[in-house]
Amino acid sequence: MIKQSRKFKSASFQAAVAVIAFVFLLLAFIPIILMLILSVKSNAQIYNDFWSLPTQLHWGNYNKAIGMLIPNMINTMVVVSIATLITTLLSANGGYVFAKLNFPGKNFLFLAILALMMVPGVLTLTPQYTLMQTYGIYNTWWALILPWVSGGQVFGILLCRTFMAELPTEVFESARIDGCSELKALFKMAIPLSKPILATIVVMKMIDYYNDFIWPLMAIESNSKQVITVAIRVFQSAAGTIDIGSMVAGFVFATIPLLILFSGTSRLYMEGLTSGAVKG
Amino acid sequence: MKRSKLYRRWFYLTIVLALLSISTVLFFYIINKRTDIVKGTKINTSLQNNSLGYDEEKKITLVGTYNNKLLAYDEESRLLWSMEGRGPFRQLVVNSQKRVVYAGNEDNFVYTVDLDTGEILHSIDVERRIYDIDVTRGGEEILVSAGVNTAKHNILIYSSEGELINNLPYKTQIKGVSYSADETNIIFVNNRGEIIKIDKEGQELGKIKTKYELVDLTQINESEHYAALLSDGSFAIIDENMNLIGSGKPKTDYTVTAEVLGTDAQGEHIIIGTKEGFLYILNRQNQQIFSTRLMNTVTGIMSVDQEIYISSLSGNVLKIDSGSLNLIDMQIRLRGVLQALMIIFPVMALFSLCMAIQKARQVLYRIGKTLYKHRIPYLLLLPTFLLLIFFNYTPVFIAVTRAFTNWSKDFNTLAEIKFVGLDNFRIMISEGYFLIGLGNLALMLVFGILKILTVPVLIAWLVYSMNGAREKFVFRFLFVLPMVVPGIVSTLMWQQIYDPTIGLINQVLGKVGLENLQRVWLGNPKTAIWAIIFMGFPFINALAFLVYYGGFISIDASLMEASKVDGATRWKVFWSVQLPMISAQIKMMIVLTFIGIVQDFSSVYILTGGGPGTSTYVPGLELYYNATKFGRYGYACALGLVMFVFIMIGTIINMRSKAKND
Repeated sequence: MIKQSRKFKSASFQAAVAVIAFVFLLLAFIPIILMLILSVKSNAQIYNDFWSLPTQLHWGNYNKAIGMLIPNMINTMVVVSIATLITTLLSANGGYVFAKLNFPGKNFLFLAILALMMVPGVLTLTPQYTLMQTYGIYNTWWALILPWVSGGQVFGILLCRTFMAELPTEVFESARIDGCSELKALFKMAIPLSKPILATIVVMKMIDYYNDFIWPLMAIESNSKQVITVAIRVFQSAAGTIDIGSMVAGFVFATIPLLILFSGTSRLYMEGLTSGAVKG
Repeated sequence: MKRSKLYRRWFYLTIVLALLSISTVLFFYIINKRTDIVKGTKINTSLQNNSLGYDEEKKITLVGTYNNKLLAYDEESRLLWSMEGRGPFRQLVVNSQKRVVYAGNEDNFVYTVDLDTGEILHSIDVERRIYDIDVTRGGEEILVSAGVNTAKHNILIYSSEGELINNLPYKTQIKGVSYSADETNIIFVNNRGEIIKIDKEGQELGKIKTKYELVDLTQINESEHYAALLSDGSFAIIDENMNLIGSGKPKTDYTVTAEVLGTDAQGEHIIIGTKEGFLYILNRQNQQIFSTRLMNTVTGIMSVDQEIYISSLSGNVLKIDSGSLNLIDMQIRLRGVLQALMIIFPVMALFSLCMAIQKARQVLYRIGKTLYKHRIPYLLLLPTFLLLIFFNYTPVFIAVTRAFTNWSKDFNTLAEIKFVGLDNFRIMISEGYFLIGLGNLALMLVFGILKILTVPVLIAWLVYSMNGAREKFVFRFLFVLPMVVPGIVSTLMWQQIYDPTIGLINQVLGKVGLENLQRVWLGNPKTAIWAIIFMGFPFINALAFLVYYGGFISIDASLMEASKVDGATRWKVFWSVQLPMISAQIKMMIVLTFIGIVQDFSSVYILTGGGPGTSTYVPGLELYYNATKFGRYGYACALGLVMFVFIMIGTIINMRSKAKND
C-alpha cells in the first residue's frame, strides 16, 4: 500500500516537473517564435492582423534583409575567424610555455597575465578607443582583431595552462632528448593532445567575438567594414516601422551562424560548462 | 693592466654616448618647437577677403572681397586700383598676356577687368549665381559653373566676347569646375560626391565617386593632376584619365566643413582651409605637417612661385613660404630618426656604463647568458606580450593616470593634458548623471541577482529531477538553445515586444481586455527601467542553468540516498542538501552577474539610449557617451576607474564570504 502511493507520488511528481519545465520552455521560446512568425509577414499583415498566422509567406523579407546584410555578414565571418584562429594559437602557445617550460621570471610573467583577469572592459574602453587612432588602425579590421585577440588570449592561456599541466611531462622530456625542438613539440604534441580545450576556446571565442556590439560600434566607422551586430542595429533603425518583416528577417539571418555553430558543438559546450568549469 | 685599460675605454664610450643622448634630446626639443609659418603680408583690405589672383608679369596681387570690391596691389603692397561689383567676388582668373582679370561675382556677372587700370572691359550676365569659373590660357573661352539652387545647376561656356557657346544643365550643385590640361575637356565636382569629366558638348567621359559632397576642385600647378576637396576635409587627387592617384584626410579632432583647397607651386603639399578657420597642410606622403586655426573662414589659397597666399574672411592676406614647408618636411623625417636615437643612445650608454664597472659587467654577462639559454620561451611569449603591452597594459596605465587629468578631444596632446586632481570625480557628483545611473544600476543589480538566483536554479533542479536520461538531455538542450540568438538580436526583439502598437505585450493586454494597462513601455519614464529589467523573461540564463545543473549532478549520490532514507521531503532535501551543495556555483554566478551588470550598457543603449530623460541612465552608458559623443576622455577614464573599484570591492566581499563559509 505504502509502496504504491510512493510510486504514484513519483509519477505525479515527474509529470509536474515536465509540465513546469515545458511551460518555462514555451515562455523562453516566445521571442524566437514571434521572430520567426514576424519574419515572414508583410507590414500590412503585422499592423492589421497581428494575431493571424502568416497565410502568405513573404520570403521577400528575407531577400531584402539578406541582400542588405550579406556584406556585413561576410565581414563578420572573416574577422571573427581570423581573430579566433590567432587567439587559439596564442592561447595554446602561452599555455604550453607556462605549463611545460621553465625559465627565469616565469611566475612574474604569469602573474602579469593573471592580473589582467581582474581588469574590467569599462576601465580600458576609453583609452583603447583613442589608442586605435594613435596606432592608426581606427576604422580598420585590425582595430577589432588585435584588441580582441589581446584580451581573449588571457583566459585562453589560463585554460590551456591548466589543461596542459596535466599532460605527462615525461613525454615532452623524452622528445626533447630526442632532439625535438620546442616549436615542434608545441605543434606536433601539445596542440594535438589539447584538442578538447582548444575546441572549447574556439567555440567560446567565436561566440564572444560574434556577439560583440559596443567595440565594433566604437572602432569601426564605415558601414562597408562593419560587422553584423552593428549592421543589424543600423538596418533596424533604417527599416524602422516601415518594413518590420524584413527587419525581423534580418534578425533571423544574424542568428543562423550561431545556430550552426551551436548545433555542431552543443555537446562540447554543455559538457564543458557542466563538468569542469566550476570547482569552487 | 690590460683589463683596466679596457674598462677605461668603456668608460669613455659611456661619456660620449651620454653626451650624444643629451644632444639628441636637446635637438629634438629645438626641432619640436613649433614655428608659426603663417605670416602676415602688408596687404590689408580692411574688408572680408574672398578670393585671390596674381599677375606674374607686373607682380600685381588681386583680392576679391565678400564686400563687393575687387582690389589690386602692386609689389610694394600699395593699392593700385579698386572696382566694385554687386556681390562677393567668388573667383579670379588672371591672364597676364592679355592684361585682364576675369572675375566671377555672386551677382551673376563675370567681369573682364583691365589688370592695370581696373576698368571693366566686358561683363557677362550668367543669370545664375556663380560658383566657379575657369578661362582658357589664350582667353578664348570662359567656363562658368552657376546655379539657381542645389538641384538646378549649369555649366556654361562663353566666348571671350560673352557669347554663350554651350549651356549644360545639371541637377546637382557644382562648386568646382576646371578645364583639362589641353583645354578640350571639362572636369567638375558636384554635391553628390562625383568627380566627372565631360567634353564640351556635355558627353560624360569618366566619373569617380567619393564619399561626401565635393566642395572644391583645383588643377595642381597646370599639370594633368587635379585635387578635389570633400566637405569633411578629405581630398582626392586624380589624373586626367580619371584615375584616383591619391587621397588623404587631415588629422583633426573637430568636425570641420571644408571650404577650399590649394597646392604649393610644386604640387608637393596640399593645403586645406575650412569654414571654422582651420588650415591643414599635408605632404604627398599624406603626413600632416602643419595645422593652425585662423580667426576666420579660409576663403582662398593661391600659390605663386615660392609662396602660398591665403585669404580668409578678414582684411589681412596671409602667406606661407614653401621653403618653410620643405623645412617642416625635413623636420618630420628627422624627428623619427631622433626619436629612435633618443632610445638607442641612452640604452647604449647604460650598457657601456655597465661594461665599465666590473661588478655590473659580471651581472650583465650572467643575465645575457640566462636570457640566451632560455631564449625559446621568451621568444614564444613575445607575440603575446607585445599584444598585451599595446592593447591591455597601455590602456590600463592610461586609464588610471589620465582619470586625474583634463584629457579630452580638445586637450589631446601631452602638452595640453593637465593634472586636475579629483575634479573628474567631483563632476560625477555635481553633474548628477552618474548618481542617477548608480540608482538605476542598484535596481538592476538587485533584480539581476534575484533573476540569476531563482529561475535558473529552478530549471536546473527540474531537469536534474527528471527520470529519463533522454528527457534530461532533450530539455537541457532546449533550455540552452535560445543562447544562439545573438544578444543584440534578442535586445532588438524585446524592443519589438515592447512596441506600443504592434508589440506583443500590448497586443496580449488588448486581447484579454486589459487595454487600460497598455503602456508605451520604453517611452514612459516610469516604466522604462522596469521594462529593461523585465527583458529576457523568463530569465533562463543558459550559462547559469548549465553551471547549476553541473553542480546538481556532481552531488554525491550516497548523500541523496541517505536523506531519502531519512524520509525527508523533496522540499527539505532541496533546501538542506542540494542547495548548500551548489553554493559555490551560486556564488560564482553572483560574482559574474555582478561584474556583468555593472559593465553592461548595450541593452540600455539600444532600448532607450538612457531615456526618456535620464530615467534609464547607467554609469556604463555615461562612460560611453563621454568617451565617444562628448570626447571627455579624462572624465570617462575616471568613470571607468570608479566602476573598476566598485567591481573589485564587490568581488572581494563575495570572496571573503566564501572564505568564511569554507
